[in-house]
Amino acid sequence: MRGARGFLGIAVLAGLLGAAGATATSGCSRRDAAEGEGAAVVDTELLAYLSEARALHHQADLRKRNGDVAGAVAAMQRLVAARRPHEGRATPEVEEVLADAHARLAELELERGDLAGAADAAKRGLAHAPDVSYFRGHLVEVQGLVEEARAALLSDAGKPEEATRARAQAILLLEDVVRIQDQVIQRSLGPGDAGAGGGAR
Amino acid sequence: MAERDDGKPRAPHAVAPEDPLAPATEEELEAARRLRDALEDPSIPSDEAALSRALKQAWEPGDLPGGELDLLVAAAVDGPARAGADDLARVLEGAFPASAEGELAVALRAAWSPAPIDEAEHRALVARAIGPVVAAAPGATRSNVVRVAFGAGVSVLALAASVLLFLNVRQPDAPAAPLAKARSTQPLFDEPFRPGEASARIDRIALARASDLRDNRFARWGVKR
Repeated sequence: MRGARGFLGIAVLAGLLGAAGATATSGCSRRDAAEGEGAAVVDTELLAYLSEARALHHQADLRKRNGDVAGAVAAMQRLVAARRPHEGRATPEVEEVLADAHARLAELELERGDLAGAADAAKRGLAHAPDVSYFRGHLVEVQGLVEEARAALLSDAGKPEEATRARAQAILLLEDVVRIQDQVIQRSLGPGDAGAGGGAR
Repeated sequence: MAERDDGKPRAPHAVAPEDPLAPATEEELEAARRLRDALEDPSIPSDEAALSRALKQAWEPGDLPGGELDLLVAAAVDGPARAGADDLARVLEGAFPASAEGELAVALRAAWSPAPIDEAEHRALVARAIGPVVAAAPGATRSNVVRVAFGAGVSVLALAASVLLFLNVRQPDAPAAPLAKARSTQPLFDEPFRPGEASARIDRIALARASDLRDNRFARWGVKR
């Protein structure tokens, strides 16, 4: 009787030790895997930022629809000043969202007649889109529109020479837009197109 | 008498009958009198009055006369429906489920609110399950044999489980499913941006990355999509 109990105890203990060892191995393996993944993956922090950006864009829509352009500008200013995820790391989505937010901010400033504010927003946006992309093309396009508006203002103010210079600058910028967009299209048609869903995996 | 557009009075019968402004004819006045009488006195047969009362009841139903509701309910629940309900009640009280509906009712009740097993039935089930092991152990050594058999079985199971768990956790060392990484959203757009579509663009970006996040979660859980 005592021998049977002893055997039972030893057997169960061996089984439990085996299970415990396997569990410990499991924990180590998972930890190693997690450390090897790096941080530049799509995670909840990035999604939260994108959700915040989405909310502010739609808020700007609503404010503008109510005729509150200043409110729409304020929404975009909140977005460009918002705390970004993975500070210090390259997150292309965040850069592109910021580039587009600056472009919209510039458009709104232009709409309410603040040409200096519009030019400044577009310029700051370009820092977030240094490479050839639709985002950069859009920002340069807004710069061209700002110069076009400036030319009209200068013309109305009786400054034909300055207006002519502003128009020339607008033409240059809009020509640059054509070049950028052409490059984007050429790249998208070329080999190595990552596609929308599976890019840099 | 009605006036015409030219200011001259017009005769009652000289106008077209579909003219809504035409004065009522004698026949129409008589029909109206009959309808009024029929509405005031339900015993007078009148299709128009019956329709009018039905419309009134549909629009603004009144209370049923005393007892009429009970009669209607009794008429609805008696008959085949009542008989079926009585059968199901008998089945649920313990009678043998003689029909498919009865078996279904018993199964549903057992799943929703299982009743305790009868003690004798419980012993019979246990005996049937361990009977062969117990029967193989003669006399006084029976209990020891059962304990040893149980212990050996448990130890084998525990070791097998640990081996299985070990083999299972070796899987993370194998190539893991790739995780979607932060990357340019440019491939989401196939044409230059147009003014007034900034919200649509952020919508598209957020939705695409939400899908990536779901994929990443599945990949981390070891679920391949």
